[in-house]
Amino acid sequence: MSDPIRPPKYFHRFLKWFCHPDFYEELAGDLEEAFEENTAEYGPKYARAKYRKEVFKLFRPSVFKEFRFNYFTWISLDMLKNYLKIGFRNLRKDKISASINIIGLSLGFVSALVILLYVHRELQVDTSFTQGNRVYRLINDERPHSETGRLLATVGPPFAPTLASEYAEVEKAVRLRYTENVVFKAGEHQYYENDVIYADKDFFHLFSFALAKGDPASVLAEPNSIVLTPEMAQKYFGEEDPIGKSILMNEETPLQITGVLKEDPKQTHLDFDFLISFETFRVPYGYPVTLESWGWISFHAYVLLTEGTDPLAFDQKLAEFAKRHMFTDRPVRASYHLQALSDVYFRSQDMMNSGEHKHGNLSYTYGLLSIAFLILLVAGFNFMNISTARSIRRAGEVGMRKVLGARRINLIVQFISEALAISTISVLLALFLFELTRDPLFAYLNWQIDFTYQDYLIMIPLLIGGTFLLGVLSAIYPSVLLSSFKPLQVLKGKIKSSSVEMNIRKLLVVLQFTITIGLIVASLLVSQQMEFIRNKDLGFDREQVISLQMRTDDFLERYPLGKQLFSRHPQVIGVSAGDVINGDYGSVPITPAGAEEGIAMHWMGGYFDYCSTLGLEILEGRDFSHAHPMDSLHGIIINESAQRVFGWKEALGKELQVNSNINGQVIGVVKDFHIHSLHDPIEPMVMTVPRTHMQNIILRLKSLEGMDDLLATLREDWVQIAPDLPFQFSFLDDSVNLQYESDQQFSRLITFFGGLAIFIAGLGLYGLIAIISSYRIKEIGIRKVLGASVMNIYVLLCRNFILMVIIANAMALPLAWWVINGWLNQFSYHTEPTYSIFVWAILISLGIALASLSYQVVKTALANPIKAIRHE
Amino acid sequence: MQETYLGEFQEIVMLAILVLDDNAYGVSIQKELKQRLNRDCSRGALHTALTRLQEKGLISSEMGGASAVRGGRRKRYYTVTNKGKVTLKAAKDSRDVMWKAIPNFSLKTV
Repeated sequence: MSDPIRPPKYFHRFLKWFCHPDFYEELAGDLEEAFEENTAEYGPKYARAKYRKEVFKLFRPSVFKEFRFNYFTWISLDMLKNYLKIGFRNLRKDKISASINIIGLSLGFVSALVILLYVHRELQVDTSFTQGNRVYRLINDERPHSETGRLLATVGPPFAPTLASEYAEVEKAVRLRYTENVVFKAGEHQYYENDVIYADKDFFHLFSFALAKGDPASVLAEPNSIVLTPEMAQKYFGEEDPIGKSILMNEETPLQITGVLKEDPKQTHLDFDFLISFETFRVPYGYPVTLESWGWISFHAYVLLTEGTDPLAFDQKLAEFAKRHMFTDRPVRASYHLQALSDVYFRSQDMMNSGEHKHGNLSYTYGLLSIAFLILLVAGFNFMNISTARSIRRAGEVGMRKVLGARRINLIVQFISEALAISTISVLLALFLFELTRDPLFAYLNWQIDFTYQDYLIMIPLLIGGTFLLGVLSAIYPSVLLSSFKPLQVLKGKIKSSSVEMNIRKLLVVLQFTITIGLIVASLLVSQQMEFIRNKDLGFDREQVISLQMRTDDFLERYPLGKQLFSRHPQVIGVSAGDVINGDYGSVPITPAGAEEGIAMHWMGGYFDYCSTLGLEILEGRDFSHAHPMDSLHGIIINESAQRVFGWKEALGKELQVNSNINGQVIGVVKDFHIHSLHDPIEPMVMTVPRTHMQNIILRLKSLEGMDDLLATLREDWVQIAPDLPFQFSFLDDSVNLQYESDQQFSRLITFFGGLAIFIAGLGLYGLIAIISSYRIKEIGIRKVLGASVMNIYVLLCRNFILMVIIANAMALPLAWWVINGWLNQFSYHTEPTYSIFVWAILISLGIALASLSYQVVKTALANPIKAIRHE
Repeated sequence: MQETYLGEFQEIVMLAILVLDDNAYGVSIQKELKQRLNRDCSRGALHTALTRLQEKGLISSEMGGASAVRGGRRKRYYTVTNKGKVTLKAAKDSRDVMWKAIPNFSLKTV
């Protein structure tokens, strides 16, 4: 053999490193001989594995050489016991410092625990599907081709099946169609449901949700099949077995239950309670499209690529595919791409139609992580400060240990092991606190996390790592400092805090307060923005409008009776029907008469009196009106932005074609109102009477007083209008606020954890001043004897700290300003940060500092000087 | 002479050294234990046993000559000392005494 097979190189080196030279030649030779024989007999793979195993088993004290810095005398079990004993005695002796350290650290750990749990859950989304790494969503990007182009998370219905049939790289393809406001009825149970998806039969092949009942390959194969989540099975069928039973959809289509999921879908972007076989899907009434329309861009499509397919290479082929099927005789209007499943949850905010599924916010997630880190930092600084400040008290012990032969490294090990003991106690306390406060805390933070004990398992390595890291990091500086004391000076009592030490302490306090003030400013600004959102005039009346859902094919036949009944109540001052403002509308091409190409605009649907009922301000023209029945065919209302886009001085009477099938005239112009959330600018919008079925009756109320009575009477009326449908109402305010859910969440979180950080920093200051003032007790006694007033002493002791807080303010305010401006700029409409926020931040931070300092300082200042001076 | 305590594994290792006569070194001892007793032992475990036995003076060792295989490294050959032989014999005798004292021994286990 020219190239003989050698034993694993690194393992051999490792052996050579740790092995005593007396044994090395014998052992290395024996292992190599065994290796050669094993190679000949069993092959190199076995021989290598065996060699590695043998090296590991040789890693035992009887084989070790004597190490140059004998690692094993740094830490001896007996000394460790002694360190811990002394450590605990010290903790007992100074209960305030001990409890401040422990409480601060455990609060820090609890926050970190909660945040890590949350972040872990977020990052876990969509990771549990067995073939998820080969699943991609098809997205549609019009932006490179036109200025008004959109980025969509959806494609036309034939896209995915055609792609799968033409390209071998696509193993399976699944289309999803999200549907809202579906009425289901099973026996006595009848409810509106919003999380309903029509899905192709291979759904479970791509998304491997476990089924409790039913065969994943076939549950969605037949028309009129439906799969339920366990929650829905319980809701409609109680304890009965739902398989084979029937559930009535929208009062007309009976569906057969073919499967039930094992668990409610969690940690996935797919948002559903019901899955209906795609074969069941019918084009809704009034839609000018079929399932063969490539331009009906409303279907989420996912493909499973075969193993070994390069997604980037396949992505390139989509352009040719699209050209062949969609743009044969016209210019290309859209590019198509693959979006990895792992990107769907966090990276589709900007895509139209992505609102149908769940989203995560990556910047909020990382923001939270940094808050966890900052809180731990504040707690760690407390520990460092208090340990160094107390160092003088421990100086005697250090001196004595040195005299008795302790080396510096031993002392460092001692203090680090003490710190580790404290951080271990803190972690245990944190776990206890977490267990205790988990449920109310999650409820307060509005997190729907059902915590399982598996989560602890995931966290164990993190906790152990965190304990170790925090313990060691926060102890390194104090232990290096303490171990540097010269025994002779110490034992003569000549030890003083060095100026370096003082400066480092000041630096840490400044940093702590910088972090704290930053968090105060951030939470104040975030709540100011939330306040702004709540109070901003959106251009419509959101508080006194409620909507009643009525999903039925004969909406228009029932509506007049409803209007008549509801209008009788003096409380109700307006009745109409149409879309609810929730930021979720279709976007269609709008073509002015004479123009070739349409412009994409949002399209809303409203019935007679729609604008006046919602409280929209009409600038020119009029509302849709009964007096003009033709409005329902040809009436079009546009907003100011649309008028601007068309460049019209006078809009009334202008001809428009909406979505290539509705021709009409502009009858009114409404003032711009916020059809989307304040994150987005107001975009051009046109409004017609819907050609499809309307789903909401909209009521405008005079006031919200006597709401309960009103709802009771409305419910009675409902029985006359739609006895077959459930009575379900919602406030417009609520659907508007849904758009700010993640912002509100962030606001709650930053306020909560910001408050916690402030508390921990205050605690640290309290501990620090207690130690410092005790060192200066004699000085203060003498000053008092010489005539200093309590106020003089107070100023003397607080002065430095107040100065530090002011420096911290000077550092934190611009920093916080910069960060928070970035956040505010996510909103197209945002509050301007006012100076009062910064004044408040300064006042709050000074207030907290003074409050933490005052008790100890006043106590010291008031003490009888005789006691202090007579000491010794 | 003073009684030397002998562990079971140590006893077997000594016996293997005697069986191998002048060819007793690490790998051959491991193989012997595997072949005759079907007993797997790591080189590490064997090392510990051999070191202990040497400390007690029951075996001795010396390095052999260089060889072409095993990376040219020399082997360390082990032999049982007289003290070792005596100890082994004493261990066997004390067992025999006990065995003989068992009344009506039958191989059938109850």
